[in-house]
Amino acid sequence: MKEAIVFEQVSKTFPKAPKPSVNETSLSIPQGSFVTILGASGSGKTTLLKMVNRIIEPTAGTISVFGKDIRSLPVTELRRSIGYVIQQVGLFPHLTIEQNIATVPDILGWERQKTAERIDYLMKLVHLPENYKKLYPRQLSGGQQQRVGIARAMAGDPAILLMDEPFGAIDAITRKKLQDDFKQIQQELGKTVLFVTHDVEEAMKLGDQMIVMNEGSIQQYDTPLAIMSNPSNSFVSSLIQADDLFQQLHLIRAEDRMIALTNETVTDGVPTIQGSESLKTALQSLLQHNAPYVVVENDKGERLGQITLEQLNLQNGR
Amino acid sequence: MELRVNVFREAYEYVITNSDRFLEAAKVHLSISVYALLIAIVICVPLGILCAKKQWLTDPIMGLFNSLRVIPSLAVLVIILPIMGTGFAPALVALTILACPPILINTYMGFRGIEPAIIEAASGLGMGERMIMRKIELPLAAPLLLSGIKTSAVEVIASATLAAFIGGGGFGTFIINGLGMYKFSLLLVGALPVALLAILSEIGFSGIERLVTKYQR
Ligand SMILES: Nc1ncnc2c1ncn2[C@@H]1O[C@H](COP(=O)(O)OP(=O)(O)O)[C@@H](O)[C@H]1O
Ligand SMILES: [Mg+2]
Repeated sequence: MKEAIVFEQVSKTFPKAPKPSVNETSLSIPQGSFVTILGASGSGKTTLLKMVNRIIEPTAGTISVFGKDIRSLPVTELRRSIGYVIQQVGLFPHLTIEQNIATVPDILGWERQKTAERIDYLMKLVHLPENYKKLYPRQLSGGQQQRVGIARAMAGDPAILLMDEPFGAIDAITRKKLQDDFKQIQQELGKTVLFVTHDVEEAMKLGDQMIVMNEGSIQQYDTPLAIMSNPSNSFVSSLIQADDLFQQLHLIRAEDRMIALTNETVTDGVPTIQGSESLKTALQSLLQHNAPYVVVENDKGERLGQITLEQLNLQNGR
Repeated sequence: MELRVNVFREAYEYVITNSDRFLEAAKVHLSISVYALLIAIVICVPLGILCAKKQWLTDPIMGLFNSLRVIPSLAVLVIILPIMGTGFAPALVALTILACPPILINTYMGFRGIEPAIIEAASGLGMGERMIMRKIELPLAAPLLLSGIKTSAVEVIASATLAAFIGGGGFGTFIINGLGMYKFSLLLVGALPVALLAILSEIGFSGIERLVTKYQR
């Protein structure tokens, strides 16, 4: 698989800082993957992210995007090819929603018709009603503003999106909706996403891959499931375990944990769930029906496997 | 009542019979005000932007202009007198000095007031420094900047009256003469147009301000 972003021995030490904010970090982000960066405040997540679009310049090492050293092209050109979304959104308050979204197309000198079509497409993509085009940012809610922020970042059709706690300032219910919608967009369009968060659940739910950072160094870089079931050190394990079991169940799909159906398995009158549903749903179903197991089905109704209470015991999985 | 009507009629008759003097005064008053304002804008807008961007410049420059602000208009005129003598030029210098602080301070505040996240988003999207200035910073700072210019304009138009004291001409000349001759009607010939000009510039700039802050409503 092609690598979208590659860090080679990258360090950043801010002037007068006693120690590096990012320390000799090497990693590669495969094209099309959704990689979340998780870590406590001050662990260097933002610094790592902002070095990719050169808002922060590394003090050592090389970063390349699709095989090209990011210093080999003008910084403005680099940034126009990488979407950037921040927690504070940063919409331009004196411009309408459509003017905000048109920022990059305008810089690139697109024809009016092409830009207008792109705006319509993006507004639909991020679920914004068409009549919002002429509104100003302050007339929108926080969640809607971030939808505009995402549309604006994607306007030039960048292959890579950098996101720094984009949903961090948004209330829990709206945040969940935004996460679901954005994950779907990412999968649909195959964008490469590097996504900073300090929320364990968000990092696990959104990321195909997850980077855990502490004090400027990567502690673990793996799939959420692998990190959860096999944390590489005590820091990672305490960060992950800080969350309760129920939440962990919520993050695991039934088909990832099910065991095979046996000949003895009675499938009539037993509760069923979809393979794409979470273990939390499985547990609820078990408790509700007071059944010894639930049967896992695919969307065609074919039986794939079963989940018993044993599969719900995460400690066994470790 | 009778007296007051007479005074207005006298003032009116004076303007009619001395229309060339009146127009000359109007021309001088307006041009000295406009020049002072333009020079102050050309100097103080870039200086204010510089102060907003370079932290180390802020304290010395803002301090200087803040203290300038405390000095009354007449004092500035009187200080200029022994240095530059009398006439249009020293009056222009004095008025320019008066016009500077509101423009400088408001430009500074206008640019400092812009949320850093907005600038970060703009550069993150690939806007260059000059494009950010033109498309983002200037429009966002414009409301405060304009209100600074408005304050300066009103102040300059009013103070240009005092310029007559150092031989700068303008409507102030009628006022000085009126005071000297105890002639109230002559006083009005100077004072009324000044008041009218000040009010008109206030209204004019407020209109422009409303236009540039449309997005806030
Ligand atoms: N512009 C800066 N100047 C000096 N130190 C900085 C700067 N930005 C970040 N740091 C320091 O670098 C470390 C990592 O910061 P950051 O990358 O923002 O962490 P995170 O995003 O994980 O909260 C922190 O100790 C922070 O104080
Ligand atoms: Mg951060």
